[in-house]
Amino acid sequence: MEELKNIAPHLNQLLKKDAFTAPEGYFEDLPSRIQDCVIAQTKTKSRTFSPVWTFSTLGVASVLCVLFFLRKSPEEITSITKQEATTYINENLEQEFDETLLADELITSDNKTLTSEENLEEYILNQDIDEQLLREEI
Amino acid sequence: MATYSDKELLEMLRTDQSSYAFNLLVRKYQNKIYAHVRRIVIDHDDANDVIQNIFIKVWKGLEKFNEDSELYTWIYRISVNESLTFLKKKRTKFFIPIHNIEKEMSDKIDAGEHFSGDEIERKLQKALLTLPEKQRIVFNLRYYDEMPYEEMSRVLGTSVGALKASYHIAAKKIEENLLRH
Repeated sequence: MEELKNIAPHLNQLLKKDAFTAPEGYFEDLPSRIQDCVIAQTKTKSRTFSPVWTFSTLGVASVLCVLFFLRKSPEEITSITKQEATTYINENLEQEFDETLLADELITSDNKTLTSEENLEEYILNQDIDEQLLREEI
Repeated sequence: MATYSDKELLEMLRTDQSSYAFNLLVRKYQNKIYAHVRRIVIDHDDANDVIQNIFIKVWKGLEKFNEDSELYTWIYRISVNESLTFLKKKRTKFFIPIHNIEKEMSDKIDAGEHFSGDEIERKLQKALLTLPEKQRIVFNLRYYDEMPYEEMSRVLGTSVGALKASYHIAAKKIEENLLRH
């Protein structure tokens, strides 16, 4: 090569040959191996990032988180006074009232003296009883 | 097997004979592309991985190939990019940027696996490894493939003048290296 003759005469004199060889039969089945790779790649459907789907999901998740933190805690629901409970009961007398639930509540309430039937009886007797309610019961 | 021109292959690739045409395309270019890649990555197994990636990219890109360049120029361009990408990944394997792949490739030449060159050829290949990657590619394309500078310019996206300068510098470095050892 004339170009090399001036800048690299020693290199220019070397017999040019491709010294890198492939294993025997390599080129015979390379096309079919490449074809197999192409088919495999075509079959594999990669999950692509979808901004619409991602941000929609994030939006729904955010709303759910907000709702979760805004809901009343169980403590809030149960933290009502006896007066509030009584008022509620009086205002809703027309509904069926399960007196066993009241009895259970009285027994398990903070009033630790109501641990026996006797104490319960005494408690009830000491409370203002709605006579009308009693009459209806009888 | 009949040989087809690039134009004929491209026409066939757009028909229901595309698989057959692609097979022909691979057969047409596999030897040249393998040699080109092998000179860059040295190791046969690495070259095998790269060449498969190249032809997969060719297959995927055929739809968008708008023939503003020759088919073989386009394939060569993909080959260069894939080879450089491969070397870059190898260089930063395990996130360590100091992996000396030139030493590794030099050792592979010494090991002589799938290498039929004599002592001079071995020295030449090891001397080439001392060049910067792109300069090595320019040298290979000019010296081994005897690619015209205008065509090389289309493959590498570099001006003819810069390529000539690069080749001259590379050749001088190789000459000095060969005379020194």
